[in-house]
Amino acid sequence: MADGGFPRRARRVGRSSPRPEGKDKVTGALRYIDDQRFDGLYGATVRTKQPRGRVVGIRFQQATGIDWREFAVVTAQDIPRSSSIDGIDPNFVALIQRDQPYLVRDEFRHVGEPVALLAHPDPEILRRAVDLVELRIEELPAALDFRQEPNAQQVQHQQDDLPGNVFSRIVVSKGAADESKAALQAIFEQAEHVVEGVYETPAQEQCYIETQGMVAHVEVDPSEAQGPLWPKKPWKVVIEGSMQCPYYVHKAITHLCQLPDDRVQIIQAPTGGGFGGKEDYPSIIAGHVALLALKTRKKVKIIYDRVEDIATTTKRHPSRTTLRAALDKQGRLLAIDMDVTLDGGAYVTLSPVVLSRGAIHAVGPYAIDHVRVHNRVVLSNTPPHGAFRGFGAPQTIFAFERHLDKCARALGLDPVKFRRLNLLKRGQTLAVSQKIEEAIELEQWMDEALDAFDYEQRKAQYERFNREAIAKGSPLRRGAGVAVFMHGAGFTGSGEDYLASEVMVRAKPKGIEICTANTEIGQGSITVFTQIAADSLGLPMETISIAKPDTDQVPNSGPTVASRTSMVVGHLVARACDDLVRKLQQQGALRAADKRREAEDPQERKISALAEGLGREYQSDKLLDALTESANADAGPLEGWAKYVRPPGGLWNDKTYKGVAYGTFAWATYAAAVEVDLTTFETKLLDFVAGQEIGRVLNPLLAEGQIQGGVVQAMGWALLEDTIYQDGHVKNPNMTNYVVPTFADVPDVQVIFQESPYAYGPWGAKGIGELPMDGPAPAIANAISDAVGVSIDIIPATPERVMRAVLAQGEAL
Amino acid sequence: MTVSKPNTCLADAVPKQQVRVSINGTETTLQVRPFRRLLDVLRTDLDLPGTKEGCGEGECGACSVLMNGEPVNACLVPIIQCHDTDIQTIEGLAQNQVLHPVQQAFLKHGGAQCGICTPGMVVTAAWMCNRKLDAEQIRQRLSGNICRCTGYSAIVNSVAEALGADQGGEG
Amino acid sequence: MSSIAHSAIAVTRPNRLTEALEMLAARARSDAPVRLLAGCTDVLVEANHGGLRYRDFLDLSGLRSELGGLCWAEDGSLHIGALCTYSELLNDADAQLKLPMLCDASRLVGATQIQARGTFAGNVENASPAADAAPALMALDAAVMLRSERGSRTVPLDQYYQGYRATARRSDELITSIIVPAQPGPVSEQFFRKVGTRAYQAITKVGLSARIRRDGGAISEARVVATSMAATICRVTAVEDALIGVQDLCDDTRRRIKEAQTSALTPIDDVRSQADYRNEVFHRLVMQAVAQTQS
Repeated sequence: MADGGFPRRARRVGRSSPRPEGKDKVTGALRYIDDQRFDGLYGATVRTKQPRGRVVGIRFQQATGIDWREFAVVTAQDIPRSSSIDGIDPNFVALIQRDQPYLVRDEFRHVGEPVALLAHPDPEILRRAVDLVELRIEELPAALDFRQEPNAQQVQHQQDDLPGNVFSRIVVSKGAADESKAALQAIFEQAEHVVEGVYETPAQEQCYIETQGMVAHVEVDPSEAQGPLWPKKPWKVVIEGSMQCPYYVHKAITHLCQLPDDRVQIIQAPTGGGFGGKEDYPSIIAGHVALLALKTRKKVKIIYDRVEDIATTTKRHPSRTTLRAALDKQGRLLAIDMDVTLDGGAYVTLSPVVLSRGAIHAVGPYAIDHVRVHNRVVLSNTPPHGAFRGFGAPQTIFAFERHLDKCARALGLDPVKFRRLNLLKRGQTLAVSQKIEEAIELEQWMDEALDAFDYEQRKAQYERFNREAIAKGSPLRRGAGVAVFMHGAGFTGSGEDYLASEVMVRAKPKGIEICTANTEIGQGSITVFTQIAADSLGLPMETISIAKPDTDQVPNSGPTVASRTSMVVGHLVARACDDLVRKLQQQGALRAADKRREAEDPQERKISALAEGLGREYQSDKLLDALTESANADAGPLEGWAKYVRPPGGLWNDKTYKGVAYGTFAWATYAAAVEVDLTTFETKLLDFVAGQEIGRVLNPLLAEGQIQGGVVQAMGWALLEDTIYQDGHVKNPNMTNYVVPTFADVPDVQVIFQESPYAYGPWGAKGIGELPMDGPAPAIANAISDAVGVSIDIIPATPERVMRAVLAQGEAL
Repeated sequence: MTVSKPNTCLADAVPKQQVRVSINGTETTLQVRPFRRLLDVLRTDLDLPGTKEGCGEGECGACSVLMNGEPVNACLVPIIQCHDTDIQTIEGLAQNQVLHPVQQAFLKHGGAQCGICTPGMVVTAAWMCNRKLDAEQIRQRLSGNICRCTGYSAIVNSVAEALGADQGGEG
Repeated sequence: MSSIAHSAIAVTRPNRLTEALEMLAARARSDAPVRLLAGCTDVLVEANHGGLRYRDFLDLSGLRSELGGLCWAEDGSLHIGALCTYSELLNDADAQLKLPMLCDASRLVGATQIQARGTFAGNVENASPAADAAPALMALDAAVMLRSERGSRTVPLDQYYQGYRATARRSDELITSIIVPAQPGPVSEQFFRKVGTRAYQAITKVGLSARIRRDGGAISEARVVATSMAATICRVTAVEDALIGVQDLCDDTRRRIKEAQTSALTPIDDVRSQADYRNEVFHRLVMQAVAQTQS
């Protein structure tokens, strides 16, 4: 690959440039989808109230003030199988498998599944009407606990040779586990110590503060302004809304509407947080507004309220993991045998991919010769679980890092000393047999984070504190805990090859416009792309603008997920800028005479033009003139393009689950300090240090903010947040009872960065979006266990759970 | 089913009442049904959508506005209770294009990420101006505003700077 | 079971107390009771979630001159007007000095925005078993002043609750104020602890409001008020009785107090917590209150 020569010289990159869109955010001027002026119809969704069954009838009850003639109604009958061109039922959401319907045809699998759509000009009347649609249901036996094997009546999904209700299975194996189960077992039998544990994590709600919402309209031939649902003459559907991945929605809607690509236009509106929750689910709302817009030939808007959003949209997969570790006398990890089960919810959605990421990250940055990680994701009759920051990794990392503390305790070793014995070194291999070639210094990085945390002193101090507390009858106990982990950036294995992302930059008067499908959802992609382009071209930030993600206008640069935006797409932005400059050169718009004078910056001569960013070779005013000229040209502005090229290195094998899982990883050590009050069993977070090596920090303020935000979201998962299901119903679908951290629940999170540049990320950057979700929960659970001397293996570590664990051990105050 | 011309309101809707209220310094007389939420009046009737709805139950603070100078959740205020009050929204905070010190500090310290909680956050923070508060007091007073992006540190830093309050202690 | 739309809700907003009482009386006579609006921090949540059972409201916000504010009487008692908000109390310097437990409780109601709107009278009348301010008031022996066209009466707060969400207020009556008597003892007698679902914006999972007086080391008088331990907030007289005479907390005493608690309180499991936790932690809070008020 020609241009892997980062790091480039950086001027904007590496600085805390402010957000270009920041002013509109702090003044409230930015209009999210529900803020935009709207004169159309409001849409609402009629949903099932049972976990599994068959819809046998729909009745519209009469009530004062409700005139059903005023409503548009869409049901699955409006989407006949016969409308399919490719033979696949259009009513299925196009994702990995086609099992989830937009609207229930007959059988349904969870509470809150959409059955009918209503539209009306008055939102208040609409809200009342939803309650007046009565569904006649025949109930079917539901599978309500993913930890229990289903009986024959509960089986709803049968795939390949997998047991009933298993959506996907992955086995990661290494060393003896490659030979046979018996060979692995032999190592356990010969080991000095074997430590066992069981760990559970809950369904976490993304709880973006902007709930989901979409607006759609259709463009039809005027002769078909009225008439059957599906127009006969060519038509187009346009959808705008809150989302992470316009092209995911695009794919879903082309299938639902059986339209060619250019007849579906998807536009991202400013989006008030996503965290994965707006990765896959928006396709469903988009489908719903599209259907209502089609039915009415009017603009239709659906905005979920908080209750509907929590009760029906995707969440983090609950998990249960059993773990066995074999250790030698010194405390070296000989073998790991791990069994992970994720709760997929009612449909496959993204579960196999979530499972995969969990599997690959399960054993973390440790050198272990013999590993078996058996992973499966199973059906349960709850709304589907889906994408959420971390994507399976937080679940397995929680189990594994918690288990390491248990091992250390069994051996009488300090948890840090124990980890030090087993940390991965350069040239060693991960559980998936990926050899780590990059220059990792995990011990050193860990020590830097622990120094900032003052680990040794703190441990000694807390021991003293607890001794004194016991002596004087104080209920307070303090503890410290760590977690060491890694997170791969970008799509797994050959995923980025399949995505084949493309970025385009276009000449504009006095600047350029960057066209990507990647969305600003708070993480700062607008700022970072602007910095990257500014440095690639040697131009000021103000000359760079970012096109609105609109599938009619921007190429498919892939989804805004998987910690890939800065690293993968940012790299493409830099290369597209080079391509644009190259074209300007070829066209003669830039000439040798336009180059910067050598005396201007003697340092610059030493850096190769390619690594520097081609545009930087030129005087900026000449480059701007060339761009302006190109923008005004009759032939239209020049465009620079870049398409993903896989970095050199090994391949990934999906069958054996071995190979290069990720081009690079970010490496991290997190440390938590807690105080547990044995009067109420509440945990107070005292301090938190998040140390990570992330290649290159593109924007310190944004990077720090993203880490802090992820850490606090994970603190919520560790201590507070739990979606409570009862008979398939979410019992706490509101922000009163689904409890996320407030300002006063969390400490200031101290962030430390190490930089070991990655040759194929822009200026060496790696992805960081998901990383902070992985470490806090195990670090906090380890700290609580350290404080109270009992194992906390289920999160959230609520006071109730801590109390039961402490009392079970016979604590007397 | 076809869509026919709708009624303008529910059949059992009560008559509109007159509510006199000052919004961002401008006296207004509204004709409005008494139980309509201040939030809906602002966002829909007056096209002031800077005030956001996050939860509809007074938990998230995204709809914070100042009512007679004090922060309240606009989702929990029936408009009739605004009669003879002074309401200030995010739209009224910057004066003549000059950002409020809290807004400037949010830009500088990364207090806004996705931006959806930001207007409510800024309004509550603006109420705290002219007080001397340490970081813990800032956290306590802002706890009615939930942010899911920042982890709060950057907001505390922003507000601390706007308050000039790093020395701590309530003055 | 369709919800009541906001546009279908009628609100009357009198400007004088006599008008309000007149309306309440008329409605009571015609058996068409209205519900009262003060800070709206409970009613609007119900309305927004489609849970309102009333469509007729009487808004008190026009009565601020008659029902607002708080004042200290010459006998040292505090009169909290029906429209007095938590933030008003928290801005009162004397309240911080004399009634720290009531200030602690007020500071933990929701957060800033709720404290600016929510009223003590509303908290009392809403009758939530998880109320924040009402239990502190109860432990301080507060009384509720009720007024109707027929006259006024005072009901001690510990006799105000008659069952889940049921109060002693008659449909023609209005709370005009809450009276907190002067506290003869030192503020160290006061103990308030809320165990919520989080630091702020929290609903109480279990809470203790207590006042413990000692006479020469032994407990001579006790108020023990439980939150989220029964269908209403309540004084736990069995525990109060068990505390009388207690000097030190030996194992035997602890057991006796725990038994008294178990005989009196049977909390439930719900979405926020479970009975075993509530029982255990309430007991520990009582022990803590006893220990803390020992010095």
